[in-house]
Amino acid sequence: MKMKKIVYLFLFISPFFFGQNNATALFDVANDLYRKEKYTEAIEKYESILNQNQQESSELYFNLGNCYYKLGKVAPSIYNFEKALLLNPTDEAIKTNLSFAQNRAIDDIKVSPKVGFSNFFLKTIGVFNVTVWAWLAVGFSIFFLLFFIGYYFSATALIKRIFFVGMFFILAFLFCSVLFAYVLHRQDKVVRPAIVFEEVVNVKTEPKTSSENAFMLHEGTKVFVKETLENWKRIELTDKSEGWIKKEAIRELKD
Amino acid sequence: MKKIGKMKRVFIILLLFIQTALLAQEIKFEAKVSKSTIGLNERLQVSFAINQDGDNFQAPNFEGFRIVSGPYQSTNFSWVNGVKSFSRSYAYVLQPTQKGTLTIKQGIIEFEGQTYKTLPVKVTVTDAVELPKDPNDPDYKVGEGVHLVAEVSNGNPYLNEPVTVIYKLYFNPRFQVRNVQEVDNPKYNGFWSQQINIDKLEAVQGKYDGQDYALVVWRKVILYPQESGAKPLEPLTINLDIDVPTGRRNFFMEPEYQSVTKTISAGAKTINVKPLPDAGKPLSFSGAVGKFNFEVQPSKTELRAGESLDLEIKVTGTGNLKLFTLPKTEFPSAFEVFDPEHKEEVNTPLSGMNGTISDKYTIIPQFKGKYTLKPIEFSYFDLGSKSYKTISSEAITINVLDNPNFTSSKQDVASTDENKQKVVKNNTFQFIKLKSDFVAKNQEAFFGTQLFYGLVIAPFLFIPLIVLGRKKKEAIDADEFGNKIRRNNKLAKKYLSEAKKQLGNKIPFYMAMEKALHNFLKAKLHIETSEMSKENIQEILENKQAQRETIAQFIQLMNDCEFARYAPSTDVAMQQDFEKAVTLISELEKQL
Repeated sequence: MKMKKIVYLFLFISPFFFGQNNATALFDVANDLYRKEKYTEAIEKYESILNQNQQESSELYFNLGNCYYKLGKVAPSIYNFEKALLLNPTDEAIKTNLSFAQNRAIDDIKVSPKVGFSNFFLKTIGVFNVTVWAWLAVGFSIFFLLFFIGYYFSATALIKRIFFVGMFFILAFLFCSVLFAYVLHRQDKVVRPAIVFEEVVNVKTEPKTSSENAFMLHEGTKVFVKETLENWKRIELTDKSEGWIKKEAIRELKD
Repeated sequence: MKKIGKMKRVFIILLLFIQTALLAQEIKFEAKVSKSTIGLNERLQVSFAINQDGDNFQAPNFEGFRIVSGPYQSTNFSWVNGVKSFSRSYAYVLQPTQKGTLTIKQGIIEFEGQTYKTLPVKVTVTDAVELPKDPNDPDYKVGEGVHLVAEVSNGNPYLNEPVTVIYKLYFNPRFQVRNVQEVDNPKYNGFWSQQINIDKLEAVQGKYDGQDYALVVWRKVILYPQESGAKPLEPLTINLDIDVPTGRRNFFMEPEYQSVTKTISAGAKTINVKPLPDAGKPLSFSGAVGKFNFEVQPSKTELRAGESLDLEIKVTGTGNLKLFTLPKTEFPSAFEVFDPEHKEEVNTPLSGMNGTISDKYTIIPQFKGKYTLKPIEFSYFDLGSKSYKTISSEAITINVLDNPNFTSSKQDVASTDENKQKVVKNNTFQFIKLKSDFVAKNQEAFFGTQLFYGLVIAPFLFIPLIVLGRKKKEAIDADEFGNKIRRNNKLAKKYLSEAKKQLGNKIPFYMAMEKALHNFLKAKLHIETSEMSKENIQEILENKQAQRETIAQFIQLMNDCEFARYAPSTDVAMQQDFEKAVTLISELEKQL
């Protein structure tokens, strides 16, 4: 979290800084509306932060998800909780409410467990997102320079030795963070989750309307987009079954 | 069974035993039928004939037939011009009892210790045919007095619209009817049919063709067409014995009856079934035709996780209740749903089915939360208004409360033990977050940008700079002579600037001036303080080809500084001396 704040701090040094107060004010108004159980109005306010101010945050998506959940809209609530989780993958509150929303969805698709080292690896480095790893790499790079200076200018042999060893450690850390950032960055591009918005939709074996139905999905189900062909998207479910779905039936979590 | 009818009966017995020796002859034993294709209401004569004096004849059991009369045995023996011929036959009159291809099995006879068999004979029995009318035929006379009529309530129904067929038997009230049997039970292909039981057959008065008849309602059937198009109904065929009064009276003056067996059929009709209109057919239509009410009823709407509730989907009304499926619904994945219990309470009177059918789902919610069951739609075709009607149930909200004692079976097996704590801890729907830091949407990823690479690589570029810088410093440190000059030069400047500060303060000013000049000389002439005599300075300066005038002025200034410390001096003089020192130093700098 701490790292995250640092990242935000960096990002604030940007022309968007002035919009911050405006967004916070809107956010507070929307929170008040939520407390008064005026969920539809709250949604309007939250979404105006997204659409007019062009700003986002994990908390904003989380609150939106809560509003939709209270209104009983399954797909939008799952969609927003998932978006919140993308920005803040470790938050327990988001995970809890997401599971509440998922319990309302009709499809109960088994999650075929991912095993093996690569999954463990991805899970571990997923603690931070790409940007955090990238900034960590920059930090390590600066540390490396400091250690070099320490090594180069220190007088006693012991201190020199400590700095020298430290330099190699930091170099290793630096490489790791760049590597992790790269792996996650690629993963981000390859893994494209989406949420089914249509109430009931048939998934086809081929990308055409006349094709055979592979299976049927209901709103709120999470799918992974593999390919896009005109108006069709090839999707995979968590249980590894695949098929083609109409583009309009789903909404991707990443733009 | 005294009736012989058209049957020709021949009894010719010739007994000629003139010669005892019989010529050996080929033995022929054959079965012959009068017709190979007959209607269900016709009769058939079959005869088994042998050309020798066979014995112990055994007839087959005539499966599918009823023996009307027989066996009639006849033996024919002739002796013509010394050639003897013999034949014996056994004849039966049969009435088929079922349709289809029937087989008359083998007849067996013995002759001289040998057993002979006939070949089986196939007979095709078709639907009842109309018998040619012959007014002189006694059967026809009876036929005029007995009628079977099928009344169809609607010859042009919609699919699944009920149609009733009532079979009525009319007979002359003077006749006595006995032993009525259904020969051919019609199969109503393309219809769902149900026969309505008639407890007791009762003869009432009725009219047929304007004449008084006795009427018995023999059978009532209700049909629901399942296919559209012209659908033929098979006829109902019954067999009955009728006692016809002969008009005579017996010894006791009671009327005398003659018994006649008769087969009659009716109801060979075609029903034209209309398909349901396609226009306005709702998506939820599943074939229900009639008039219905639809209800969805949960047994409770608030319960704890792990407890069960029942959801009943119920259709009540009149129509083809047994012939359509109840609408199905989908449940949230957090609900464990068992297969529904299907219940039918349907009566089938002649007016059509009525009653209730229902599906009862047992549901066990697995997780806490508020769940909404979507409205369920049920559509039917209303025969009254000839249009589709749709009934939609209300959305049902089910509030599932927390149940700490219940652990869902839906949880991952692998994660149960580690989840134990978690389930308790995070069991409630979390409130919104009140604080947030916003960032611009669609922020370009930092990773991979030039800024990122620049920031990572920049510190490494500093390393050679640092190394170079230190090398240079070391080189400078190593150069002692140059350092001294630099140091003295620096000191000269330092003292000169101090002198400037002390302007007006006589003693510190001149001391600073002196030090500045000395240090200047040290830096320029590379001499030590001990060598600092005026003659020496002059000599070295001259050797260095400085201008005489400048040298003289410099020496003069040094002297002035020395004296001024002990003599009174004005601010103006101090200013002049300072300026003079600056000019001289810069001039010597140029000259040396």
